[in-house]
Amino acid sequence: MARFFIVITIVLINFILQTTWPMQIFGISPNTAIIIVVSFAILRHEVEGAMIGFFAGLLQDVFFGVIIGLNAFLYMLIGFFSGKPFKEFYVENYLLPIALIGITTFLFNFAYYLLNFLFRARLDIFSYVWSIILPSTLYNIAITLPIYVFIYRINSRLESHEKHSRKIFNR
Amino acid sequence: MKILRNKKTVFLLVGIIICILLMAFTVGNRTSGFVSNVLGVVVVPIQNVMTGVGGWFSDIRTYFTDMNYLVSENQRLNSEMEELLLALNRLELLEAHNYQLTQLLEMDQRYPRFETVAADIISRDNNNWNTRFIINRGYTHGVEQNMVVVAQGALVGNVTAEAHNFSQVTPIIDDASAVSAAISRSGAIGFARGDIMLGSQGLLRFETDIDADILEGDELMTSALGTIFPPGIHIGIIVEITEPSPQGLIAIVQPLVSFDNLNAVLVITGVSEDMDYDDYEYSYAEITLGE
Repeated sequence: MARFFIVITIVLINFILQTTWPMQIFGISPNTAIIIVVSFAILRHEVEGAMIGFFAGLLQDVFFGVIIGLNAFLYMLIGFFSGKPFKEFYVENYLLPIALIGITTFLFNFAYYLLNFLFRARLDIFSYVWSIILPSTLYNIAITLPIYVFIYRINSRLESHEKHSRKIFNR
Repeated sequence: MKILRNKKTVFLLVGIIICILLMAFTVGNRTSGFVSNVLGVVVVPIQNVMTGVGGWFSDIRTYFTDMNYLVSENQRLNSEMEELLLALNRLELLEAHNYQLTQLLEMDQRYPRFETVAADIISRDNNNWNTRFIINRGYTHGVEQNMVVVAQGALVGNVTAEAHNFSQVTPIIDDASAVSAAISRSGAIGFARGDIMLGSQGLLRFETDIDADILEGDELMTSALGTIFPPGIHIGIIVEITEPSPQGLIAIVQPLVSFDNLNAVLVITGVSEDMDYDDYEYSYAEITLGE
């Protein structure tokens, strides 16, 4: 139960911080929600990753979406597939979160462009990739490590706490 | 069905189905639901405080840096206010005059006066694609979907979703926004559309006919053709006219509202039925006509 509340609080605080004090550089803000979803997915695998992704996306949808469910869908997929066990990496290896966040941020923005812009005949795909998708991907990669380390520490605290109490999430 | 033996895959499929159902239920009709209201009650008060604190910090910063500027600004504004007071007096006189003449003509059509609700912008979309923002007034304050939002005497956008204590506003510079607009000088009509590339500079596009009468410096207003926006609300000034293309003429519009430092808006909740001229206290009540 402690995990449930702490994860929800982290996602909520991240959302509030991002939407009130955005850390914009040249008009581009990072997508820290993706970083949090992917970090938890790496540490806790598919099912929890998908659940956290769904919640983070739902939050975005409820406040800023035109329809509810689109962001929830995309973030859920991100959480699920980032949670796949990558046997070549240990969770302590920082290359995995950086690579995964680079890939997922790029794919998320690209999917968002396809679903929201291409269908409205915004066809100039390369200028969108160049001026929005690539900068936000690079920005996300740049701030991945502090957030991943923060979540890694919170997660190990929670796991040592859970060892002493009853198991809730059985994998 | 071998795929269904994997519990995780089943879980993902259920999640996908939930998302698709949610999208199907909310497409074209984003009414406020239970989830929106619960999240609103949790998130909106914190966003209110955070925005307030952010404003407080920037207030302190500007307090120390802008003293000289403020003094000169104050002088300028004072002299401007004197001029405006003069103009206002003149206009009040004209308005009263106009009212009496209209009464004489028994004209029923009058310019409506809007009823408004003031709201603060408490958060902005940060996904780099859309520029929608959240205001701290919801349906308990009378804000509903498709209501028009104005600020600084010009058009900001419209309400695209509402919940218990917050509403979502899509500004005119958002890529998904299209407003039926007209040039006030010539009456040329077209669409004022948001564009993500122009929106980052606070500009938008005006698309009109290839032979439309349009010049740089023309004023753009909402036209009478739209369904959401009432006619005659200022949008902005034409700053650049691009080369005519087969699709028509495209002009760049500088909106009158500066979206970068916008933090409070007015939502037009309705049109008051009658203009209550009895409430006016004219200091020149002895205006008589035709004598």
